[in-house]
Amino acid sequence: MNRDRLKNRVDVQQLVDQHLDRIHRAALVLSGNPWDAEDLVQETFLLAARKIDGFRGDSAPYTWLYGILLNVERRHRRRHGTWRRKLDTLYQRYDPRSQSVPSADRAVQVAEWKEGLWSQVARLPDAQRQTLVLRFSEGLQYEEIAQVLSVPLGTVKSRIHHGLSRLRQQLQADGEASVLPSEFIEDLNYAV
Amino acid sequence: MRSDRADELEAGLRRDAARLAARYPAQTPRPIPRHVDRPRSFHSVRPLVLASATLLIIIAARWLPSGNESDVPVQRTLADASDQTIAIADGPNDFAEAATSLAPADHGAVGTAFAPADASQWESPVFLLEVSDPELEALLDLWETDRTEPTRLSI
Repeated sequence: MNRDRLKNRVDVQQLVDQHLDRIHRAALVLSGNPWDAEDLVQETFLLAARKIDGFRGDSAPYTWLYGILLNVERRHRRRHGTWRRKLDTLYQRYDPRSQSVPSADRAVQVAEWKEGLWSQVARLPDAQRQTLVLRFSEGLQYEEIAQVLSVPLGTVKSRIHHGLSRLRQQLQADGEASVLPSEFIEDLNYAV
Repeated sequence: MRSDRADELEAGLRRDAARLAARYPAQTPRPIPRHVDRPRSFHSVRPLVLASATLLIIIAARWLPSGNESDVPVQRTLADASDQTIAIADGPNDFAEAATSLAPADHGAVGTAFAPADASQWESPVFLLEVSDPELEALLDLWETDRTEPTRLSI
């Protein structure tokens, strides 16, 4: 085993040890359930392990990992959405009776997520959604978010502003009483 | 009032994220491969495939009619590439012509399969191949696929 490979072994393990919790939290908020979150985390670190040679250290490792995670999640989301649309079309076309039966592929989300604000954030456009996750779930600074998303600082501020505005509109339209944090359901039923 | 509502919303987002993370703590991920060997995918054998294909094409060119039989050399460039160019000529004698007709600004370090003598002045070599149309399409498809990553096609 050569020295570079040995060095990478250490680096990959360090990445996992140091950043697992934060990457997992972001994945959880993005996906809405712990099972998908684990898959996202796993894929993120696998990709990181493969691409670690290309990481030049210009940014903090966690911003690099967030970038990978967001790409992985976007790909998952797109794939899932396409598959679900195809299934829905098939159900509608060939078996109208099954419309009352949820698709087997329908996403499963935990109650905490569904009843919280992040399920509302999930309805926002990708750019706003990811920016809000990095800012309010992960607590990144504007500059760090700009690095992760490779966009100018002004764009980050604009996405946060418009994202929050749109989120507020959604909450009002859906009836904020059920989702506003002040009235968040305290006695949560953890059953999925 | 508006600011209060914004603060409340932001605080709610932070609180919901913290609740989720507390309820579902991170599990130790399944073992991450302890080395960075790539799986035996096309990407890992791509350089070998391209080198072999290029060699075969160059060898096959010796058996094909020379480019002198054609009055108009066929040359194509991939215009949508920002800094990379693939030039294609359909005969050995057209390589020089194809090369000189490319502006230096178009040159890209895509790789070096064949570089004519007059290309030595370029800052980076241009990728010249002698291929037929189906081969060209396959090559461009290959390269387009590769463009999903900011890596350079190299041989």
